[in-house]
Amino acid sequence: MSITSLPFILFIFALIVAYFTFPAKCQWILLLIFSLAFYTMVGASGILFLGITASTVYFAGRGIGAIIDRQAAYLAEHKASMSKEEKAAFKRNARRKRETILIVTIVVNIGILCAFKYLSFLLDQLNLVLTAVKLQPLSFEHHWIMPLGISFYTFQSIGYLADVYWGKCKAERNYFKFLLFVSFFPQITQGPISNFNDLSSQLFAAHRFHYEFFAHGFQRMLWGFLKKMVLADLLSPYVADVFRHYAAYSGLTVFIGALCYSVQIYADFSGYMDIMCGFCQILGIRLRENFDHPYFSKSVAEYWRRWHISLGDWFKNYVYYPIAISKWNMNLGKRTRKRFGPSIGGNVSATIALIVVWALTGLWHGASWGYIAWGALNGFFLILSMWMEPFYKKVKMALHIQDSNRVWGSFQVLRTFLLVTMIKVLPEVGTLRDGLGLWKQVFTNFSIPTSFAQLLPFVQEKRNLIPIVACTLSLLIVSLITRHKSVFSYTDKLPRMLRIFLLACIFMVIALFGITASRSGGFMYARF
Amino acid sequence: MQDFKKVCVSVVAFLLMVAILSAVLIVPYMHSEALYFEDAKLRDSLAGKVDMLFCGASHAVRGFIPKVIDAQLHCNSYNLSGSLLTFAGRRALLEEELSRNPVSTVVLEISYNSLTRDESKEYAEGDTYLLPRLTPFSKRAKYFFRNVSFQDYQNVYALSLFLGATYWGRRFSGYGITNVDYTNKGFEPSTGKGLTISEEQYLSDYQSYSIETAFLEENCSVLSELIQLCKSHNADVVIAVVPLSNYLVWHADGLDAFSSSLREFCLENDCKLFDFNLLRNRYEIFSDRESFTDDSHLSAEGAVTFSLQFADVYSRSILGADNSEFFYSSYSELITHDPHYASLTGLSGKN
Repeated sequence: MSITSLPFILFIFALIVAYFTFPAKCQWILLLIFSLAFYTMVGASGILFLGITASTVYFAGRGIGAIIDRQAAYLAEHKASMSKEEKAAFKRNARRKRETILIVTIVVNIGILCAFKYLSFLLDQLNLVLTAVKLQPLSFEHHWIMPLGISFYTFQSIGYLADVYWGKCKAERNYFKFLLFVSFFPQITQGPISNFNDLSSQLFAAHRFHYEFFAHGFQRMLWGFLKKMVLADLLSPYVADVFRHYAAYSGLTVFIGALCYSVQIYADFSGYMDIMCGFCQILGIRLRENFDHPYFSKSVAEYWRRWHISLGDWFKNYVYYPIAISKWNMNLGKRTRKRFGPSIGGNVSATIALIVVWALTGLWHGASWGYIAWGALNGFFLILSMWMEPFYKKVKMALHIQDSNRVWGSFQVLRTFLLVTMIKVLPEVGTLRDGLGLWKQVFTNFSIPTSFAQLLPFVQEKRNLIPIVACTLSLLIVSLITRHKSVFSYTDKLPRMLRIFLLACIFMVIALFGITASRSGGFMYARF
Repeated sequence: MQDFKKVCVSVVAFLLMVAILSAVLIVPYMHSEALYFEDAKLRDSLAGKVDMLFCGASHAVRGFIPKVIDAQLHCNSYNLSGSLLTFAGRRALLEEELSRNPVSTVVLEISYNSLTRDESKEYAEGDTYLLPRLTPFSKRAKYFFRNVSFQDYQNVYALSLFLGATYWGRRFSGYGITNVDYTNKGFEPSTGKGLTISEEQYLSDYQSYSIETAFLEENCSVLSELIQLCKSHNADVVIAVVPLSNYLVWHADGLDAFSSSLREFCLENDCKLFDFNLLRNRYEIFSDRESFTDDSHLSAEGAVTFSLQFADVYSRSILGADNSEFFYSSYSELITHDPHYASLTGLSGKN
């Protein structure tokens, strides 16, 4: 069941009606039933692995929670009779048990994820090595279908377990409630990766119907459908054509194709988020935002704080910080600080954490050298900007450049956009060699075409250009006006009937251009 | 409760506005002289007089010219074909016309992919073109609910909107509102440039396009039912393959398998088969540049040539003459013996 199809619209309509008709205490049960039904309809074979992840993490969470509770109760009871050493030994023992459960559960779940996502890639690499040393390559053919959303629900579950381990949240006692947290259908295929405390309090609470929630949610859903079905899906064949035949096109054409790809992936991914956030808003549930005007970022670091925010936060909380504040890394930091000074010492610990984070982020997005290179490049620019920060400051002071200067700000935005665009296309063209070939084409074959047909030879259907240009401009304008203020603060001021008329017009545009364009296209981030 | 009422009013207003906007796009188109709507009127006006029917998909719409065939065979024929017309669509049209006309011959067009493609994966495009051709409205509604799957409702709606928008586009850009020629009786000439393929590409493309050759069981059984339907109305059934471009015949791999399966099917169902791809000296009769608008559709000029050829072959077959001298027996024989292809295979050295 595609999210842009009529059956899905009827599916969510049925849920909305049932959700506000049934007694409030049944609302979360309805969400669970609909989530499991959705998951079965879109990827029936994956439900087994969803069940394994939910069950292992649930029981591990209960186990860790029980150890924490027992430890607290025992210490409270025997506080007076225990010596300091005894208390430390007791705590160490309890922590070891918790650690064992945590590590075993993480290994099992990451193991399932790796088996589906990376096994073929690893075997291919191994076979390359074996062939190079003239040994018989291993033959291993499998036709496993990767469970839908496995990368998202695995990370969300591990996040929950780590929070229980650190005592940031209580272990959920009700298995079915936990199953809902893992399988909640609006976020299972593409995120956002939610935090248990934030989401569970909303999922299990009773919600009443509000006109404002409905109006805003519906408005946002339509905007999401417009972005996904019209803009992203109309751009998709053009981008695919440029990426497939980049060697035949001029550098400028390929560069335009890369820019189109940037618009396409943003419209696709953020469109999905708008659809799902809008739908949840109707139910009274606020999903966390995954985008905050990422293409207006002034640096790569800022871009990654605004693009796929929930994934960035996950890596920050569960990978970056644990590494950055680990004992060995802190010691390394101290030693380098002593030897090379405070700025270098401080950067060393962060650099190590960043290298790990970006290697994992690259791998998370896909098992290919292209994604590994993509992660490495993002990490490289982040690390470079961190190390060069003092130098940049000096240069800016010398040139009297103020951060508040608009021209300078615009230059930074444009520079960041172009940089992330060129990094982004690297894994999308095909192999890493193709990605580098595309770069080469852009930078070494930059001839200026003399006609429209030469500039955009991939545009076969010229009638699609009007909705593409109109939607891109609308997206840009809406992004600009909503940088500091919610879009609803503008639309709520319009008379209700005018607002409904505008929504009906958006619907017509989606029906006219989007339905045909999107019938073959899935969501780009669902493959991760 | 107050909120609920407000939402109900808003939803009704929204649906009403969508309905009005949709109607603004679609209704004028439906009442203009659009091909699909005029077809129904024309067929109604000819009811009781038609004695020969052509029924197939886009190759047939662009291939059979009733007025040319009428002049040759002294009959009153009608081309029922439609782009991407499904087998269910063919049945609906044939049932209607057979029941109200003294039809003596039905020509069913089958192209190389008619029996191999899964029609349920075609987004109901053919059904959208067909629906306006079914009148009265109750017939249209019956066909829609019976043959269009629920998942395709949105596609039918979107394509109808698109056709409506195209109509308005034509009006605003000063074109006429129609290109319907009533004397064509269902024939719709293909427009476009002739097919030009460089010799280099021609040679390198030899049999590089693999076509699906396994006929789908359900398509074959529906076609058998169509043949039985025609026979039950005492109509003679002819299966015809409209010519593809010379280039596509050269380019495609698997046409022999298609041909032998179709021959077998026709034997089983006791109907005549004319595969016009296998015409002797076809290159002299149909040139890619003049006779085709793309690799598989005849141009207006090509359609005239084809219609004359068809009339000639069919009239001979009625008289009991042996037509085998006009055709090669297989595609491999065509490629080996046809002077045009033989010269190419000699050049390419691939045969």
